[in-house]
Amino acid sequence: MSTTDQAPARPTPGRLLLAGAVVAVVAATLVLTAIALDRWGPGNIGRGFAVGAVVGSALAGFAIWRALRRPDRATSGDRLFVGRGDERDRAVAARTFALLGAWALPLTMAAFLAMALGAPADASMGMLFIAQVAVGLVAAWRAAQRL
Amino acid sequence: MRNSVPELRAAAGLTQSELAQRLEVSRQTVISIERGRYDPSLPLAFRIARLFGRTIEEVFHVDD
Repeated sequence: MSTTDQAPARPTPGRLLLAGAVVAVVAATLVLTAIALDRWGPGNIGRGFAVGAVVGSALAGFAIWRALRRPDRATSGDRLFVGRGDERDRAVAARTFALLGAWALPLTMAAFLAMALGAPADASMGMLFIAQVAVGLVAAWRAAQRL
Repeated sequence: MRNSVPELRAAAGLTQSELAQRLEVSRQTVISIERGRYDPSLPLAFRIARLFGRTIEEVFHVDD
């Protein structure tokens, strides 16, 4: 019987309880943070946080579902996210973070330079974050292709 | 590093998924090892060799 033919392992009641507790705590923290930011934060930061939290939670849920239901079709990141990664998955993550770390300093320097030349701080920080996410995604893709 | 994993796996009548299951790694890891893209750790190399009843030197070969 191949791995893909296997039925997913049935989680124990203890693990289900722990997973439920973690989800409840994370959801409560996100909701309370969004409410607090909406009430006391500057501008529409609360709404932005809420949208980001919903999108992030949906992506995390999708990754968990994929890694648990079809581990052979999941990515290294999916498997590592649910604690089912093997040594190659960890090697892919190590290469990804190594490349991201190497790019972090020049990207941060570019953002500081932009701000020194008069670029708005919030836009510069936003671009820095987007650039780092993009570098991380490309680095993960390259590492997965090469390993 | 070259290796004889594809030949040994075929001789044992195992699919990549079955080998992955026995080694407790993902199928992608088996594919990467067979293609020579990923060199397994020493513990995994030992598990692979033992699974086929060979020594590590009989399974993995250094590129010369």
